[in-house]
Amino acid sequence: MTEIKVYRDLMGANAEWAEKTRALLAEKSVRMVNIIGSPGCGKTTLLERMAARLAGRVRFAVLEGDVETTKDAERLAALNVPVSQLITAGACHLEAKLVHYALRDLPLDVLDLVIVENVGNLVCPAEFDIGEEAKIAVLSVTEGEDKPVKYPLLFREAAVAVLTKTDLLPYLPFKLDACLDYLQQVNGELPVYQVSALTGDGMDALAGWLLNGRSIMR
Amino acid sequence: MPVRGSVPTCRKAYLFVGTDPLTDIVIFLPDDKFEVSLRAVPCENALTHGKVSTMHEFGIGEELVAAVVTELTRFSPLPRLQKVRVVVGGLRQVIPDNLLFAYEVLSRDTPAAGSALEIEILPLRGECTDCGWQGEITLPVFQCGSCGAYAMRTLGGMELYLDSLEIEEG
Repeated sequence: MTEIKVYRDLMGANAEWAEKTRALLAEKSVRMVNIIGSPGCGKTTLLERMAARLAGRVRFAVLEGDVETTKDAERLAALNVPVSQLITAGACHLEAKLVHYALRDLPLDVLDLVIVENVGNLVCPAEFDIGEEAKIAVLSVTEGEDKPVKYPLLFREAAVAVLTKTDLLPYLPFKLDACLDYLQQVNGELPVYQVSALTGDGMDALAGWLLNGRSIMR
Repeated sequence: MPVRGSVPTCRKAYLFVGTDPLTDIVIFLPDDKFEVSLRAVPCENALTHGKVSTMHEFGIGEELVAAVVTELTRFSPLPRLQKVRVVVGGLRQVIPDNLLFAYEVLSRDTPAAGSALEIEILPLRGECTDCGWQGEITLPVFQCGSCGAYAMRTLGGMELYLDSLEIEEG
C-alpha cells in the first residue's frame, strides 16, 4: 500500500474566483459587501430603506441572489437602484464564480460600492468567499435570540451584525440582552447595529458604517 | 468618496446554471421590466453534468472526486484506489455522513469507485488576544480557556482539503 500525499484545497476553485473578483474590484476602486441572513430577516427591506440614505453620497449597485424570481431586484429597481438579479435555481448560496460573472456586467467604472444580497440562509453563504470586503450578518428580533451560537461561523466571519425589526421588540419575547451576550461570546469584536428599517431607527448609523468602509480584518 | 454623475440603469436578471446545454430548468420569467440573460456558466469540472448542487456536501463531493481522479490518472497503469483521506477544519459546516454518502454516489463509474473515504475533523484551535493562551475552542463559544475572555482569534478552522490517497501497488 502506498500513500500519496496530495494536499489539494477542495474550495480552491471558489477561492480562485474570489481572488479574481478582488483583483477586479481593486483595479476599479470598488468596494463590495456581502449581506447574509435568514429568509425573511429583512435584508431587502433594509436595502430599500437604505437606498435613500446612500443616494448622493456613494455610487452603488446591488447584486440580488435568490433561488427563484426577480422579485427582490424589482423592489430595488422601483427605487431606481441599479440592480442585477442572480437566480441560482436551486443553490442555497452564491458562489464566487457566479458573482464574478455578474460583476463584469456592472458599470464598475462609475461605481464606488457593490452590495450583494445573498440567498436567504444562515449556513452556506458564510462558507463561500465571493471576494467581498466584509460580510454583514443580519438577524431579526422575530428570530431566536440564540441564533448567533446556533450559527457561529457566520457571526465569526462577519465584520458587523445588524439586528433588524427593532420596532417589534415591545411585542416579542425576544431577549435583547441575551442576544447581545451570545454575539459577544461568538465574536467579541463584532459591532452590532440595532435598526428598524421601517421606522428609520438606527439606520443613519448603519449608513455611516457602510459609507466609511470600516471593516474588521481578521 | 467620489460622487460624480449617475450610474446607468442596470436591469438584468441572470439565471445561473451549472450545466450546458440548458435543460429541465424552470425559468421564472419576469415582466418586461427586466432583460433576462440566460447564462449557462461553463462547467470546469468534467464530472459535473447536472445543475448546481443543492446539498452542500455534494458540491464538495464533486470537487473531491474530480481531484482524486486527476491524481489517479497521473499513474499508468491506473492503480487500485483503497482509501482517500480528507481533512476538515472545525469551523466548516460539513456533515461527515453526508460527505461519505456524496462521495460514494459520485465516485461510482469513476476510477475512484469502491474506495473508502476517511474524514479527519481538526479540533478548532485559537489564541487569546488578551492573554496569549493558545488552545482548543469549544464551539459555539469562542472563549479563552485560561482567562475566560471572549477574545479568541481562530488559528485555522476553515481547512477543507484532500490530504492523501492510499493506492495498491502493482
